Amino acid sequence: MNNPKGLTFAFMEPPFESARGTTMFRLISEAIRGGYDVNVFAYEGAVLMPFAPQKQHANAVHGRNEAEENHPLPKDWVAALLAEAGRRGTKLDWVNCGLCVDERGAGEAIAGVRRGSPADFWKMAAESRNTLVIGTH
Amino acid sequence: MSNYLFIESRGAFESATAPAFFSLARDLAQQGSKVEIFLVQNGVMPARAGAKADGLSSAIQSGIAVLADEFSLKERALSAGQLMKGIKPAAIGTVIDRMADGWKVIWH
Repeated sequence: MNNPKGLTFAFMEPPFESARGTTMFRLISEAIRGGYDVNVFAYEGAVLMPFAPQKQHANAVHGRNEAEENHPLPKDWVAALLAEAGRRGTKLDWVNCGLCVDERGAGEAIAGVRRGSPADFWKMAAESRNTLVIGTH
Repeated sequence: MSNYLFIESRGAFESATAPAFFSLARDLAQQGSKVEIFLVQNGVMPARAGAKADGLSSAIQSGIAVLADEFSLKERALSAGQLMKGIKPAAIGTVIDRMADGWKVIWH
């Protein structure tokens, strides 16, 4: 463990699917607010969380235009977490699994997200104080 | 002996493997490890007083502290007074605290 303030999370939840994504964001937010350096290894569908082309949309069923619908976008939550870490002087290192990115054509990630491999996850976990893996059934 | 935090996100109403997860928690506790269970998402539904979900009551009876995520409870209109005896609401920060303290944290 090289970084006693480091916490690592690995998760595979795609955006717009289940409450696991929300819980994951809450955990990352809490860790950043607690002053921890946070590593995230996103694999499988989770690499689409910071996918830059995500767009808000109107909802005719609700009778709302795009602004009124104000559909939340996970890429904005990732950006907000990166900004919050910056403001607090901690680190959020978000690594998207490269193979998973290529499979999904998800290369256009927002700024601050980097491409990596399971070897990065191993290094993150080895250097961190602790690691939590949230799989998807 | 290690300390363990078991995070249950589904519960026995949604997942047939939840009772086995609670059983593992009980086994570790009986072997002397400190064990807590943190219920989150739909995992809080079996926490209602009177619910008959497999595994949770026996975990409480074995002395394991069971916590329920406040946010998940609010989402499902559950108050602290509606919970089974032995289950307390807790903040999501509990997970971060246990990680920081070196507990082994396991998600289900």
